[in-house]
Amino acid sequence: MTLPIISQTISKGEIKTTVNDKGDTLVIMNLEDAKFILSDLLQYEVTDSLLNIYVERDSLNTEKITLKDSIVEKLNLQNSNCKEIVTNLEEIISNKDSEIVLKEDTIKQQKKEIKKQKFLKFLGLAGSVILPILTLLTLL
Amino acid sequence: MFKSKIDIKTIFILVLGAVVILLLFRPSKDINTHEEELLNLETRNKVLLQDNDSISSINIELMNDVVILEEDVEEINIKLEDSTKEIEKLKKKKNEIPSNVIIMDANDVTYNIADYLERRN
Repeated sequence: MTLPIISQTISKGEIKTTVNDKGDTLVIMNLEDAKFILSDLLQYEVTDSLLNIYVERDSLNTEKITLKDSIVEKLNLQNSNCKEIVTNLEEIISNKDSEIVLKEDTIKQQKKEIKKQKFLKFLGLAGSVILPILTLLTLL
Repeated sequence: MFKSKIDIKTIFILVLGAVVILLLFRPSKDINTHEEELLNLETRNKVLLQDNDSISSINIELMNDVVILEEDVEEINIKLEDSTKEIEKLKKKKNEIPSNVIIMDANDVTYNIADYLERRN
């Protein structure tokens, strides 16, 4: 029996069909051509698998972009909130400054009043000593 | 005797003394403690602090959401990494096909074509 590899009588690129005794239609081609076809078929099969993975990756990337957009949106909102907190704190500081100014004014008034009261106290004490002496001196 | 001592000079001294007493001991004006203004400022500050607390709570919630979203992104990254490995594997397999097919004999070619047709169907 002759080995298939050396039994080629049909040339490359040539394809013949024949019907055998049983009525089957046989397609005859060079073994090298059959290998090319098989190689292409298997490569196309792998390419199909690759295409499916790329489609899946595309879907995953789209989902990832959506999630990243949500993250950016939330971070922007957070940033905006932080700015509002800062604005509020600045207003609080301004209010505290106003409070300090008002309290300083009150303290200033109170100091003035204390000074006056001290002077009156001194005057009262002085008067209570000097006036009787002067009266006595005048009467004598 | 007492009456004779009340002359113009004494009256002048008494009047002067009365004026001095009135000037010195006049009722002092009330100290303005700005109570109402201070109360308004304190109330406003309380409101602002409460607002800040509310905003901080919202920010904490937002941060939790971001953490969850980042975990989801990380899961997707792992899937993408796996798919990259799978792609590399398939590319390698695809490149190896011609060299594997070229060394096949007729039986292997027939078997593989039959196998492909079976998978396709």
